[in-house]
Amino acid sequence: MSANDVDKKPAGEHINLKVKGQDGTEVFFKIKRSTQLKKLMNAYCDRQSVEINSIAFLFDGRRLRAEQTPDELEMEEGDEIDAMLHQTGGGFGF
Amino acid sequence: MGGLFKLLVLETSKKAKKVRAHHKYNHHLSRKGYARLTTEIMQETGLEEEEIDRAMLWKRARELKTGGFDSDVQVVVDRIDQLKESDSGEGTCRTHDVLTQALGTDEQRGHVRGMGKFVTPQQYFYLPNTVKHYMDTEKKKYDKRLNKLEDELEKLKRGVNNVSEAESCQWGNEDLEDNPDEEPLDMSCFLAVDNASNIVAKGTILMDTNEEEFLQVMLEICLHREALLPVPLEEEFIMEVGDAIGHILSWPRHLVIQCSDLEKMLAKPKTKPVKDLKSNKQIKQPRGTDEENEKELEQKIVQVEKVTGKEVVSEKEKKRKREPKVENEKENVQVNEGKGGMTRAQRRPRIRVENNAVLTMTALVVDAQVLKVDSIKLQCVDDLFGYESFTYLNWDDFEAIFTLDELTGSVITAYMMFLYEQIKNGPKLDHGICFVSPGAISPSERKSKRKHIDDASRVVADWLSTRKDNDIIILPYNPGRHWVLAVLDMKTYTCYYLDSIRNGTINPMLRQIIDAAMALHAIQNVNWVKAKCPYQTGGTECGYYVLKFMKEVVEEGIELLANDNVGEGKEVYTDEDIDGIREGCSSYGATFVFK
Repeated sequence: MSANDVDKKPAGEHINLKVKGQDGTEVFFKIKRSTQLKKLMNAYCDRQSVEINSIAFLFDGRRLRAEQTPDELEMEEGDEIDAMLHQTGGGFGF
Repeated sequence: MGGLFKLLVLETSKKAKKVRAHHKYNHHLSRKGYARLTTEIMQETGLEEEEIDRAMLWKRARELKTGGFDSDVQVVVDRIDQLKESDSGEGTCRTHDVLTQALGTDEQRGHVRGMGKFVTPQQYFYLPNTVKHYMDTEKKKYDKRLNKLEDELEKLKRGVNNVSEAESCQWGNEDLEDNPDEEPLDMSCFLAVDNASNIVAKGTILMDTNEEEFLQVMLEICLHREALLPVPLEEEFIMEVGDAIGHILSWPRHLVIQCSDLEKMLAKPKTKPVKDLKSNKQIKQPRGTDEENEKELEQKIVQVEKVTGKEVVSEKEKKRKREPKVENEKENVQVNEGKGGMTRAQRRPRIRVENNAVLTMTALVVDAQVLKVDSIKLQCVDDLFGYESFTYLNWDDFEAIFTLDELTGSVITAYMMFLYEQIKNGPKLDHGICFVSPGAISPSERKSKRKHIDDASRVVADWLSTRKDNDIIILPYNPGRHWVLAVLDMKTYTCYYLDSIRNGTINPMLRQIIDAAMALHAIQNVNWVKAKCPYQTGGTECGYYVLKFMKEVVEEGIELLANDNVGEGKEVYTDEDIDGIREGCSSYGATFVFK
């Protein structure tokens, strides 16, 4: 465990992550390993001009929560996050 | 003359020599002075100015450069050291300080050293007996108080230590153990509307008079913001649960469920593990049984517990929490909140699942497998939308299909993948159909109308330019809580608009997107036709209707629209039609579970 940590550290405290949209776009982010993903999510949503609650961020099929950090999720350099638009429609709902 | 002068000089010299001979303690400061010596000592030793006394300065000033002291000085220095050692630390009263005593010279009477002129020792040091007495008693009083405070502080410190130790060791257990004791006093309750299983908030019972029909409760945590209060506070314009947090409300007695009652009630089914309860959940059970209600309530409680941040979990449950299933549950809660605060218990029951073999099977697979993983990823083939795309299906998406609830964009996308696969692999005729992802052209509140149209039309135009041989473009569109379908016929430059709401007009945004895309691509005006199609009767079917429209267009080709024959002239799609769609998309989605 501790040896593992030591191995990881030299990779630097920053990590490059790729956010992939459903429309095929890819946005790259460099964030600190200890930074909450909220920051990345907000930045992505600002860039794409979408509401943060209409986008689901998924990593390895898991939905990401804003307060998680790359360290917690054991993300590695160049990992991909999928950004999925959440839409529903019933008919008379609006 | 000369002799007299010589005599005079000799006399003076003799006198001066005599005076100088008295000067035994020579300083070696050169031109430094005590002031600079003080700052020097302060820098060297870090002492405060007040801590440097006269004796120290005197000593330092007379130290030789080589270290040590003159023999005369040494005597005094020894005496200083001696006095300092024996000094009880009471400080010096009057000006008889260590140096004065060591030197053995009396202080001059009539003035006080260091206080300037005209300050007599009498003025400076003399205290009348009355004042002395008063000060003594005061001092005793304060000493007593100080001792008491110190004792209390010590006690508190010990107390805090105990608590923190206990917390770090057995935090979880403590919670479990304490709760039963509190139960008789526990006035917290769940508040429901319409029926007891439909919990919308948590609060505290303030007044419980036994005869009244309403209870006075204080609303603390809201789960479903939009739920209407049973008794609104009209004068304060508080109608919804979300506005009423912190207010005192009256609530019908039968809709107030005390937490303690609920826990007792749930204690029975808890013998079964939660997992089992869920996986064979309500598939073949008649709706609305007590047991089902209990399950719903239990889920509610889990949710409430999460909202309050109160973690009443045993060690075992904590472990289970790490498992993806519960993780997923957490996620579901979040997704539900995203959908306007819907909670699972407020969901509709699964409709027409038990009599349909395909849906029943799929439901079993989904309940058993999809809950375990967070979501399943569906990777689209690149030529479906013209770029690399994907979608995720989670338990909620499937549950929407089973309960005939509002469809999500993921399901629509998945169904388009399904249709596209059928076109490519199956015996169905290729009518030159291509699809546009609803996610790529959907509006967003944050985007200006202009920008939205620009962005979306560019996506469509790009796609059109790469797929010139296509005849039919299928565009499902979500203008906001609704699904409509646009089918673009590239041969005749006609765009058919299918809206399952009877009187729906062509969405101006979608129209502008397609007009702009066509202007970019073909410089051609589009002829818009509002196609006649079956209309939905409920409030949630539009997604299924859009899927059905797509399916028919894929199977029959554009002639279907040209001949105005969508749904074979039906007014409404039958249950069988809709179930066919549900079978198709749920079973297609379920195939990805094992991929």
